[in-house]
Amino acid sequence: MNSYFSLRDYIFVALMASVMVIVGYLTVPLVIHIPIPGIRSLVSAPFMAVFFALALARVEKVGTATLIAVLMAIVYSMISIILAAMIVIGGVAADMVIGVVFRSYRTAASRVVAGAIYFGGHVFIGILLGTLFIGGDYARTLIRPWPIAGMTLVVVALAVLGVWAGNRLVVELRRAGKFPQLK
Amino acid sequence: MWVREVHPLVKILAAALLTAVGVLLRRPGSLAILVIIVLFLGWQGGLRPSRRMGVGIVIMLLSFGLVNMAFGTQPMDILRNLLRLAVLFLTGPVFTLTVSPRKLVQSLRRSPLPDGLNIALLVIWRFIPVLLREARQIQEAARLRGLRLVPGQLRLAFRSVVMPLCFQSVSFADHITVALEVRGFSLQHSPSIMPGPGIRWEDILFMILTVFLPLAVLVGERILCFG
Repeated sequence: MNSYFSLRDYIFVALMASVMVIVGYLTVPLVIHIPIPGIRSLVSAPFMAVFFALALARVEKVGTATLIAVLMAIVYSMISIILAAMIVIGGVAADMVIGVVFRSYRTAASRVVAGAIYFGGHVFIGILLGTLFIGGDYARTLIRPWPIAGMTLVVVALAVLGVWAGNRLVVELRRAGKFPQLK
Repeated sequence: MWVREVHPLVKILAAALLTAVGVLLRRPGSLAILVIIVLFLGWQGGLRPSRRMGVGIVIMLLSFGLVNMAFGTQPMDILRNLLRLAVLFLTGPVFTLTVSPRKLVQSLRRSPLPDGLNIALLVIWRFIPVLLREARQIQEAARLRGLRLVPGQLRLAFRSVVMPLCFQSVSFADHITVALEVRGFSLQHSPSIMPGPGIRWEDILFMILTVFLPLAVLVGERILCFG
């Protein structure tokens, strides 16, 4: 039985997921003690988005975002099950939208949209899940449209910046023959 | 250290269930029982947090408590929120840090997951330390050239840290794929006939502690108003 993803795809996505985990490991400790929801995504999203864009551009198939998310979720389940759930939801949402609108990750625009949904989804779902689970006045103060929308928009803007940088790198890697050429 | 012998998939399921029960419990007493169960399992599994990690956890909980206080939350509610946060953040690490990667891989190979996903997980497990070392070396080299991670130097940080890491990881991916392909590895046939771990008495004891006891606490809290 032929697999939807090739061995090359799995290895590449696994390596990019590893680098994304490492980027989180290097950037999140800088803000870990600041109890503002979404601040961790704010510092890691622009850098993670570069590798996210590389993985999508190399594999090009719908389902890649979910695969990255599942792999990262397994690693992040060491920290929190909620964190893992939030990553998977972000990946599935990105794939669903791209599957319907663009059909693949071949174009730079599809990767930008996927990055915005994936990282924006993390913040939105993360704030919502975190505050709902912890509850109390903390939740009542934060579950308002403005704090959630504001933080989500900032992270989306930074993620788009990261994906844009990743897309530029993809062009360089295509020239170097490391990535599939556009037909 | 019988906790280390428990089937890894049983641990993952138990972690999800404990987290769910932690979310459903409302009373600090009930949540404290859950925290004690998780800490006991971690201690039994030989986990001893370093001083730095302990200080980090205390600072995180304290800052969370202070933010709650700033929002005018009642002391009992703050305690409940802190205990719930402790359940959410301790369960995952305690359960996964007591799993050996070899056992996890054996269990995953016996699970209905696609072979490619198992290989990808193996690659992640093996290459996170390698790539982390690589990233640190790149970061160190950039620092020696005068780079400081401040907002004004973000562009420079991208060029001197992120770009080299990109090229290095793309190159790693190509090498690993070629290495696997020349060794005849394919997704169509399984490369191993090693059997996975079965269910043992440790698993049953673990299930009693992590499934039945938390469920009993939940029932006790809701029906008997305990905690």
